[in-house]
Amino acid sequence: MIAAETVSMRLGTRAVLKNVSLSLQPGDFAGLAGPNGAGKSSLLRGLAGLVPVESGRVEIDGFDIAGMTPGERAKRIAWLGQSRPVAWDMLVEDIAALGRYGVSAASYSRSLAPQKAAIDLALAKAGASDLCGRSFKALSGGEQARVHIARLLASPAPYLLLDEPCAALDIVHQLNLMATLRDEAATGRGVLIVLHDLALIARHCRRAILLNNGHLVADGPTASVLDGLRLASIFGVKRAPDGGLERV
Amino acid sequence: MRALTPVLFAAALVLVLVSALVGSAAIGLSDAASALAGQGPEGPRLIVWEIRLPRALAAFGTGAALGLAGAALQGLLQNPLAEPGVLGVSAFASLGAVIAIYFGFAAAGSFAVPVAAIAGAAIAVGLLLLAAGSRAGTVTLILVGIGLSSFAGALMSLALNLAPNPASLADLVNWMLGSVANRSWADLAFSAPAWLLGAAAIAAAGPGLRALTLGEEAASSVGADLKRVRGLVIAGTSLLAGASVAIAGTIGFVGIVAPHLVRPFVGHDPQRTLLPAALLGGIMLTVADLVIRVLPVDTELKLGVAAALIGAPLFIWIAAGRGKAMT
Repeated sequence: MIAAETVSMRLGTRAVLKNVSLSLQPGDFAGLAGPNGAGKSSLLRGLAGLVPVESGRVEIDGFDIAGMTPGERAKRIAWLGQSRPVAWDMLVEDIAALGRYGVSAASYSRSLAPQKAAIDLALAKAGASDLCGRSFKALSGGEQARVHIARLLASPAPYLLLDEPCAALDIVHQLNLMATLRDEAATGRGVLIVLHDLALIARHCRRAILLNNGHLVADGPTASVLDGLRLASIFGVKRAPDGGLERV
Repeated sequence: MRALTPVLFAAALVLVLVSALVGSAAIGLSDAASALAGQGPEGPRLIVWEIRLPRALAAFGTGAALGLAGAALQGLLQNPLAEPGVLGVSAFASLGAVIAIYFGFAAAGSFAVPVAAIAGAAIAVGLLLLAAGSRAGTVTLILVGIGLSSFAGALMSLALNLAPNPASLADLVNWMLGSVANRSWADLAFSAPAWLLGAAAIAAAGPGLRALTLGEEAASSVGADLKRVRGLVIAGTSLLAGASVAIAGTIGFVGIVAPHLVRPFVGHDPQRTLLPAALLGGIMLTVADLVIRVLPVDTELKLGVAAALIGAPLFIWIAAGRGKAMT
């Protein structure tokens, strides 16, 4: 279990998270939503142990994440950030192999058979198998996003944190990703995904978490969290007669 | 292309041997070869073993160290234009060496110059990370490097002005242009251990450099210990660049050009770039030194000048190509 207890975080002088408490259990598939600047990415960074919290604490399976080495964290948590720089034009399978860095630091071609099998499986789950052998920078934005997702899935960590993984994906790959993550949760992984598309959360996630202005405003079963009143007060939208959303 | 490294190994070996056989002294190839094998009259044997071979090894070692240091700095900073010469690391190493020589520390032992050069290089890498930050953009990095180079140049002039012993402009020029002429086994004995130690540190940082392809946050999230990687690269490049400056002065551009040329052959993998970049860097300086030795001119061209004559245009070409790729 990852547990955040009354976590506050600061970016420069701005308080981006204020007393947020939540937990992610094995098997959870939770969607995290909120307006721009609500603190979603900061919360994910804090949960992944990449940025120290200002107050409160983050624990994984009872251990304070602040005291863990990067290697210990990587065995428990896999994180996919919102911006995904790639400095060198490496091969697709070598980028994906970095997801298992904490287990084996070898490149794909020098990996042992079990490592290769795990990387191949992750590439297949992410719909990126057919991109193998290609240079990363020659790929389209959506293809690059799939390789990053493969890198995340290749990790042995039981908890997956994804920050807007659907941003560059076409609709079929968005649905594929949600189905894949639901399967991962069914095998006992805990998945927390930041999404702007409330319809995707409503349709695929059992649990929804809403952040607004650094505060956790709702956390629970998706249908009750994404009710009409909250959508109006937080996002300024309401259900339209055609089933979509429109401005209040 | 798995054959790249063996091919470079073989080429390096052949070129160092050729370099030991060729020179300004009128010794025939077959006489030089038998001298290299330890046979024949004493004159040629002395020239081949005590003048040419140390010089060839100094050129190769300096080039290999600079190629490796460049590849490591590029991996750490995720930037193909990073290099000890461009970033001012070599200039600070020269400053350290000059201070050691002109303020009498060199009298403490011949190790004082390499040690001072390595310390100067370490200060420069530290200042660079402090001023530019480890995730600085290309422009910031290059500008800070230019600043550090100019600063080191000015401090070097100041040091020479203040030096108790009368120093000449020629000494300054020697340090800033670089040369491996008249290097001895004794010089190599001080630089080679630092090179090997530096190479070991960089090799240990190799996997972390590959993880850094994903940027610092993602590299840390997959389990790379960035403090350790940074420490190893700072120590490694300081030892490599410092020892190179101590034996050969400032030689630029090898550290940029060698990694750039081998990168496409190793799948742009920062870890697998390291060894071939070192070998190619060594080959480049061995060839450059061979060329300036056999050129029929009265005053021998400086090795650093020859390296810059080839390297600077390539650097501009790489920088321009990168600019185009980014727009």
